[in-house]
Amino acid sequence: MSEVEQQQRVNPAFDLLDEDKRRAVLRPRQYTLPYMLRFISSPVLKSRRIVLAGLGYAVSSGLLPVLASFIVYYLTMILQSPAGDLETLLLYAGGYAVLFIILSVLATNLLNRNYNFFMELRIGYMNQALRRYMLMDLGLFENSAFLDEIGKWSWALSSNNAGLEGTWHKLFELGGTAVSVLLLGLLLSWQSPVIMLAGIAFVIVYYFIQANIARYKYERREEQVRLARRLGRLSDLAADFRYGKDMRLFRIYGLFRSAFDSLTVSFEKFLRLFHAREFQLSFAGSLSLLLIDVVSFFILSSNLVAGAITLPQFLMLITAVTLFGQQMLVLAEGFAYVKRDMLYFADTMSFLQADLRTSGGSGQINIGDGIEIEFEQVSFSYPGADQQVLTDLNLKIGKGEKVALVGVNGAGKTTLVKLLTGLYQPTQGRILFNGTDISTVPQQELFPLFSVVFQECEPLALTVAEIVAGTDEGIDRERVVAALKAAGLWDKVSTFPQGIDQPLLKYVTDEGKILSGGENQKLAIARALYRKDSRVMVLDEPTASLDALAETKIYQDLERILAGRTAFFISHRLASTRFCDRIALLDGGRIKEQGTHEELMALGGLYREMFTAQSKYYREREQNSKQRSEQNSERRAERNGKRLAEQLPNGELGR
Amino acid sequence: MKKAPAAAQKNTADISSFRILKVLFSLLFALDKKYFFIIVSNSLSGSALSIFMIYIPLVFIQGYQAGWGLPHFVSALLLICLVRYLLLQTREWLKKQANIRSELFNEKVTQEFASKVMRLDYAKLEDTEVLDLKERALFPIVSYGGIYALWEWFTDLLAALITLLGVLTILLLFSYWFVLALLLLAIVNLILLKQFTLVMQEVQQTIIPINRRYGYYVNIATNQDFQKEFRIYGMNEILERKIEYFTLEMSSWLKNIYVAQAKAESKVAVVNGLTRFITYGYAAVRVLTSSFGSKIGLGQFTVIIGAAESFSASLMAGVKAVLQFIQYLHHLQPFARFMLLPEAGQQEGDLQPSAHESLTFEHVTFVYPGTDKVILDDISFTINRGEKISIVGLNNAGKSTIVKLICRLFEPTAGKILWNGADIRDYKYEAYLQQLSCVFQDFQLFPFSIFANIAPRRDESDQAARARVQEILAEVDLTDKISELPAGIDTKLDKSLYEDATDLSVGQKQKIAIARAICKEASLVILDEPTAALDPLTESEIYEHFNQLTRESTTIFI
Repeated sequence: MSEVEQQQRVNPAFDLLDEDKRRAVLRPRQYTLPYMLRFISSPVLKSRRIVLAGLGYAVSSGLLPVLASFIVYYLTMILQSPAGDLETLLLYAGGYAVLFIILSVLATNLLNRNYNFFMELRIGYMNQALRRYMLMDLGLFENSAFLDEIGKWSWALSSNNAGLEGTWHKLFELGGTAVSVLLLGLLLSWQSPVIMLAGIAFVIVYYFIQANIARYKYERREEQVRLARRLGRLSDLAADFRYGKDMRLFRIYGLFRSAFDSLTVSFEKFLRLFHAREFQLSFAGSLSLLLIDVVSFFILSSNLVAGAITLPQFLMLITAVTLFGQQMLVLAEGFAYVKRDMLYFADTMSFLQADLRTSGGSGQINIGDGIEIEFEQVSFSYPGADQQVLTDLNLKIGKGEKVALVGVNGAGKTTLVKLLTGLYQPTQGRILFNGTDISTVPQQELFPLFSVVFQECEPLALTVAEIVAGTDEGIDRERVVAALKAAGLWDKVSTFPQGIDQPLLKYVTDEGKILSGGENQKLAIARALYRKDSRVMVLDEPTASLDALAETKIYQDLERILAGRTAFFISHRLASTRFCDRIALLDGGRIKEQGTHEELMALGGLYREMFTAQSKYYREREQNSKQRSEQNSERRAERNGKRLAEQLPNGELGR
Repeated sequence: MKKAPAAAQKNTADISSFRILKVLFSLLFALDKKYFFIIVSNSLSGSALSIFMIYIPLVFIQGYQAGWGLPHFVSALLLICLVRYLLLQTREWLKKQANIRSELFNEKVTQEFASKVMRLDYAKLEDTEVLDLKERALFPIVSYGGIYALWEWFTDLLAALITLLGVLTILLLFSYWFVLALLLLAIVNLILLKQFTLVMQEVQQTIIPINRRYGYYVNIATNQDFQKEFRIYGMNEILERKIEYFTLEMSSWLKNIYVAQAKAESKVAVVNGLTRFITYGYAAVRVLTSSFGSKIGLGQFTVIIGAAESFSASLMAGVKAVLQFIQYLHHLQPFARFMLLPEAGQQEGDLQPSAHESLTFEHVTFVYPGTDKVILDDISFTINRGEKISIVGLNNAGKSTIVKLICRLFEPTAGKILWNGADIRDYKYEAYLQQLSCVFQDFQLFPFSIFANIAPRRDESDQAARARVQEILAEVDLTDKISELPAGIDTKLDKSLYEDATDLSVGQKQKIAIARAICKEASLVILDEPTAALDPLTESEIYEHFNQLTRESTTIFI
């Protein structure tokens, strides 16, 4: 058959299990500091405005400290001269003040008015990263080693003043520092080149100390993140309102208290270690900072004593030394900052550059008038797990057929859905749609074939229409309403002040409406129905949170809802599977029993056992309920007349 | 009928900065006194260093004028360096302490927050306004590092204040008039910055909710639970657009701040230029003439200039610190309000409850606080000892409310609930709860060991308790599963917290919850849909065991 030759999609979930392969994909090359600096500066250098602003800032802010030391020289010179002239002096002071104002105004405007450029640039990267995250192979989420490695990508993109954007700002500002260091260094070299050398020595020592500290901290980052995350999660849970009832009834808080205490103790121990290196090395750091002072003060005072320089010159030079020392510190700190944050940005870069999608595939499905599905010897185990969830599973579903998949908790029903929809690929065997192996079909062509109602259906904070249509562009509003009607949610949505444009959830707007569990499920069903071109409907426990009435209504409308689609049901309310054409029972990774309800009952296997157990319990409950509610109604009837009758229709009999 | 109870209205009222400050300082003193002293010492060492630097040129000039030789200069130099070194190293040590303390303090604050949640009346936890307040309270702490930042800016603020005081004292030795002039110029600067602050505060206030929304979508985008939907329904695109929309919105607001900052700083630069002119002019006049007091030497000239520079610098640093401090104080407004929520409105009686004989609902009506939705309307019934009863015929909300009322998590709007003939509100709350055991419909397990989840009040080394837990596990048919685990009943339950933890299936979790309810040995057991997540086989098995499980306790099935 032709599909055999067709090219398979790449499967990163399994490919990246191997540590060496993972490294090869994530770090195809060594990220050296120069390489990374080239990488981050290329988008900046493309903007001429920013380059000019950067140069302008460097000159204006770089000149300010130099000016400050010269003014001391001129003023003391005038003061020292025998005919110290107040007028000249004020002229100089005034000139200085004017220059100071011009340069300061220039510097602050060039810096602040271009600040946002970098934020927007960073956001571009952030969105790019998020997009990759949302599109990378789903199976990678099962690969915890990969997740740990990749989980670090967001840090360097999350802040204005750290990571990528922090580095940009830092480099922008360092331009000014570099100019003043250069000019002050030249001025001091006029006295003795040793001063400049001391300055350079300081920067080197300081840089290496800081780089060492950064590396030390970076290496302990995982421990830091792990501890902080634990503490964070623990306090999150302890403060989680949903825990409130059990917390009070079972008096759990003491357990949290002691868990906090022991974790806090280990966190404190860790922090002492984490900050230890910085303090140890600070002894050398402070010493190297004083080096500039010691050397230059010594040289300057011996020159002064020897009469080689005058007192005004001496004063100018010690002012210059002080400023030189300060600027050198800024420079060294800046270098260390860039080195440190680039260390973290390397993690982001590897995420931005690696291809993690389930791309490729050249197969095509001939859709025709429907889809026939065949599982052929399908086996599956989660990436990295030894245990097989499915073993040599065979199952065939005809065009437009309705199949119910049942089985005990943990039998692998939901996993089967992930394979069917192409989110995961089988470890062995094939899944064929009209004869085409779906692992050869590009995902972007495969996904639109499905309407899936997932088991968990917490909605997103979007409008009703956006959720149902799955987009905010080109929504077919009539279809949205029709889908809502079919799912039984229109009665509710039509009462909203903004109708289908009503936002849900309160995170984004106070006007957001909150739906009940059952309504969320109906919303998910409506979204599945909205998809016009889907050919396969998958419903994973679609009615678990629905009350009996709503459930019955959905099933009554099922034929209309499915409209010829092949359908796949998962449910553990066995009674609700009866209007399927066929029931398949999943047990031990295989389809153990299949047939109609009657056939399976006659077979006398696990299905029969489950069904009997459930219906027996249902009958008992129903009887109990009836007795009880009769008693209740009698009692209440004495006082309240018909109130119970009003409440009954909402009641969920038999559950 | 009251539409919104007083408590709900209180939640929306802002409190003054002073009260926020009080909340934060009392937390600081209650949780970590040492940290406070570190903050103060840190500021002191910072200002000592700046003031020390002012005098260095003076030493050299006076030495030169006194005709010092080189050895003299060298020893002065060494002494200066030694003092500086000591000051620098003290500051490094304090910095290390502050780093450690601030991170610990941040954790302690979130822990204290959790225990505050615990101390609140349960009814508050179902109030959406309180939930919203909680999220707004935690956001600046978790996402902005609000607590660290607050104390860091406080340290800077204090350091600037101390330096200013020191510098002004030096300058006052020279002239009151000069200090007055400096102060006047400083006030002009403050007025200029005030305008900028207003812009900044306004923008920040606008940005916080935008940032929250942005944060929500980013969280969703990286949340594992939604990844299937993004792929199958292509919903990544709408999320990308939402994220982009909010980031651009934030960016355009922030741009206003930066432009305002550039404008404000330009004006400040003019004032600072003027300040320099006056400083240099004044100092020079003092050297050249005696019109403002006796003539001074070059050394003192440098002191005036150094002090004035330092004055300007610390004033700017101080202003920046104040602005930021106020900003963060503002961010922490919802946090402070949460910490001030009233506690223990629970009516506490002093009766000791005896084991369950009868539980009576007497004309109980319940209206959800803050709504006019009648959940229960004049309900009456009695449940006697040993009965196994199921309640049906009410909608979900009604049934869950009955459980909450029995547990005194809510109080009836009208009517009474009697336990052995006495109003449940007349019993001691803790003792009363001891009589009850529940499996709530939305039960939760906790991130501790299986043993601790089942017998939370018992010590892990209590052999009798361990035996009892094993016995109960056998009754709910979990023995096999649990004994497979590496640490048996000491295996922990949350994988995101402990690497060696286990993930239980929904059915197994439900069984643990049932085991916990049994283990409490209460005289009244309430089961609210305890088998909703179980497959039919397990479900029927549990139900068959229930009578045996609950023994002589009265049992209510919902």
